[in-house]
Amino acid sequence: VGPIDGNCQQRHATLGDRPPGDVSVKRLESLDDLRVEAQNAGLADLADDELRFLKRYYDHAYAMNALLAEVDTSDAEPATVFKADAPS
Amino acid sequence: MMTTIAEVAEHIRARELSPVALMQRTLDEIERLNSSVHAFVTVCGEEALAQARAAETEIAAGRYRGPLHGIPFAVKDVYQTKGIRTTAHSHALVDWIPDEDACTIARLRDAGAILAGKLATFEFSTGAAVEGPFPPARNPWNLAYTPMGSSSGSGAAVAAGMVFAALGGDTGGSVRLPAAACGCVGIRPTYGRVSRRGVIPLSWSLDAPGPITRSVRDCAYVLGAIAGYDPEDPASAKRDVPDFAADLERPIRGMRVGVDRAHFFNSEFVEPSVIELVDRALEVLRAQGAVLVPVALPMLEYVHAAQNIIHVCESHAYQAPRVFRDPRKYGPTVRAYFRLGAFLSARDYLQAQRVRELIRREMVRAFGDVDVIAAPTLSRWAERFDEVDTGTRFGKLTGKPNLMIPFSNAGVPAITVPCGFSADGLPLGLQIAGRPFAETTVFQVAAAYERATPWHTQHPKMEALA
Repeated sequence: VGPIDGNCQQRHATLGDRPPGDVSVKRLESLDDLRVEAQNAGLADLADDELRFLKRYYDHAYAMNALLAEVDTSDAEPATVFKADAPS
Repeated sequence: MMTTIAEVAEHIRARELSPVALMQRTLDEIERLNSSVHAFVTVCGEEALAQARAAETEIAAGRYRGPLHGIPFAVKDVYQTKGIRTTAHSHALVDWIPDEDACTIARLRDAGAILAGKLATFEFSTGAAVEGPFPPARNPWNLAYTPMGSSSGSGAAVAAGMVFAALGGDTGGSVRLPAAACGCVGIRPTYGRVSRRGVIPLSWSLDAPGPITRSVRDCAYVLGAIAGYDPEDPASAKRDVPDFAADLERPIRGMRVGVDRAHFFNSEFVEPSVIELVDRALEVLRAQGAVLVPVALPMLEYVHAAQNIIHVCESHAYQAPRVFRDPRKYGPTVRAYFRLGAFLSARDYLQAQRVRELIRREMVRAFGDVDVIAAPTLSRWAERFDEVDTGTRFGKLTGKPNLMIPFSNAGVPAITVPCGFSADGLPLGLQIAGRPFAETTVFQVAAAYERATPWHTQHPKMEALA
């Protein structure tokens, strides 16, 4: 972790660093859990075969998030492509 | 037509070869081969011939524009083409006709190149090889195999000799992967080097358009034409465009080639036969005076996860309105993939971007000690169509690592150049990555390897394809 100046500290405090290992969303263990979450997200009436396919992807994504949560990123600002002087 | 741009351009410039004859021959080859290779989803026959006639007139009048003048090319069907349908290989866009060319296509037209048609891709650059409204492109080296993707048609069309160059799009390797699997050269330029304007986005912060060709020099020519600042692309870099071909003949004696064996040569994830061939390729570089230097990139343990979470979230943000409204217009793979972002949080996305920044820093630090990093392009050989598993697209977590993602994630340039064949005749690529905006160095090392080896002179058996 490199040096952090006052402005950086303030910015990080605003973003809210999470402790290592903290995965932000609850794991959806079952197909029914995923179905409820899908409905909440606006994906109503997914057939069971669609949900099963989605669950395979979801399980991978959850595992990837858990892995990334191990990393101390307190010194890293996310990359963006925002440019204040871009053409309108 | 297995010649290169560099070879035919000399004849065009000297008026020994007519662009009209060249385009007619290109269209004949497409007609002859496409029913087996399926690289093209749209062919621009009449329009291409009209442009070839205009090029011929211009050259005859003494207005030769350079090595791409009169050269047929094609693009992955995610590049917008004015007046020509642009489908992304999806039922969702199957009738869409844009009213503007992508920036890259406009630049190739300015250089005098002629669009011969649009090429197959995996649906929206990320779906399965076998989904969408058109037949999937097939690998010209063996039609039972995929050309890999997502720029599947781009790799297949160039390898089969249907065009001299094709544009693909590289988010996590989709230029280098089909280029390597089809025995071609392909480069992912530095993020921001080439405008993304007019290319259907997959993942805004990762997408990099790039060319596939049959030689390193041709690749340098095409990149030279499409690179450069575009004020209308927010990610475009204000950088001068050097002559990418300037150092192609320069010896590589004394250059330092970084090798991270722990990540890129790990036999737990990389086929031993692939490691063996790429080790031989490294020896070719060493024999020319390059110095092989061990490098360590331990943050790459996280690179697949960071790449995929970013990719999932950004593609969800772009596609969600349409995929929620018309899910049946998407194949099952992209439908699930584009929905997945609904289950991830803003914090997940930003953590992935922050990890990515740490990966980038580590790689840039490594480039302080070496000129390039060399690695296999592929961890395994191209897959057969009957082995395609649409549920295992997340790389390392399923035991099939993507060795191109580290350079995509860091945004640095990386090229693939043919480096041999499997026992049953499938091509493989040597990957060479460089510092940000050091494409000229990457081309220099790739050209040195190409000069010393015969792989680029070998081509699929065309009689088996027709």
